[in-house]
Amino acid sequence: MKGDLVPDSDHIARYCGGSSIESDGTINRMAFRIRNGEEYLSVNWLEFLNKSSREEEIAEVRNVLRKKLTLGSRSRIAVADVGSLINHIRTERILKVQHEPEPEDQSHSGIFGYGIDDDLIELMIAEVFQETYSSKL
Amino acid sequence: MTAYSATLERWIGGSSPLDSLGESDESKDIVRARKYLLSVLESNKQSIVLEVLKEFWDSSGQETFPKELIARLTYLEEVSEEEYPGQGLISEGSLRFFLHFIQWLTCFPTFDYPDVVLTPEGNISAIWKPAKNRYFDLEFLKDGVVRFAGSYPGTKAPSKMIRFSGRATIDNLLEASQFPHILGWDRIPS
Repeated sequence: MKGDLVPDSDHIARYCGGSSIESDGTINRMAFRIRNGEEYLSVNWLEFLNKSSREEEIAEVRNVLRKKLTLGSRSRIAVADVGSLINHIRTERILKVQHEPEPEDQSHSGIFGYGIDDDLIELMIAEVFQETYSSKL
Repeated sequence: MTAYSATLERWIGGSSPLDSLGESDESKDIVRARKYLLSVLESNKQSIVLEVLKEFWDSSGQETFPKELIARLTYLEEVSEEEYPGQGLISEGSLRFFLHFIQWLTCFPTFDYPDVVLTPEGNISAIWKPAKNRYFDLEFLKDGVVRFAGSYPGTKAPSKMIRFSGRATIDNLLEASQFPHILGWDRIPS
């Protein structure tokens, strides 16, 4: 339901465009910058999808994103667990991850609690999103 | 072949100002960069990156950007065209500011060329990672100001990372910050 907090034990996925990925494949903090006019950073709540494996979850995220975005051939999908994210940044900021379902994207969620000028928070978020998958098969 | 391409070919094939640099790895890199740039120019590809690089080349009379950096910038331009069809993403003002900075950077005796990514606004963000646990980036804004962020281990408690960020003019940043130290560059240019 909209506004529900995503549990600490659950995982979220973020689409990262190819222009925000470093030459060595590291996801740069720019992938976690909130755009002008946005209230939160868009992610997808993986456990909400009710799939049996991470690969199936990512496949479903790909299907949903394909309807919303032009998926770049060099883009990636980065994954983090909510508890690690919140704990890593707790000393600087209290973030929350909240369910924000959309008609065509029911697992859509948001990371709330930072803004467009929060470079340090972007840097720390990027440190947590270590697990990545190709966004195209 | 355009007049500019002809000039490039003459430089590459004949006497070049770079000849005076001898056979160092750096001069070979730069000559390879010219050949790469020439090949792309001859493909008649529309590119903000290459147009701006041409201007820098024309105005300075010599090339200071290595092939790897040119390739990275053109790669990012291609990626942004793919992800934002018809509009692209690279900010020309940010690119010019970045290239001026890179020209200045060569004053450092032990500088490293940065990796580059794009911000969601299309600005250039230059990244240095001189060691696994050291990170520094500079985002080149359109108005001559930079945003920066970095992290490095504390000397007294190496397991604890020191992180910092801010916004400043590039001159003020260089005067006030320790980023040459963080990056391992040993002295400020005179």
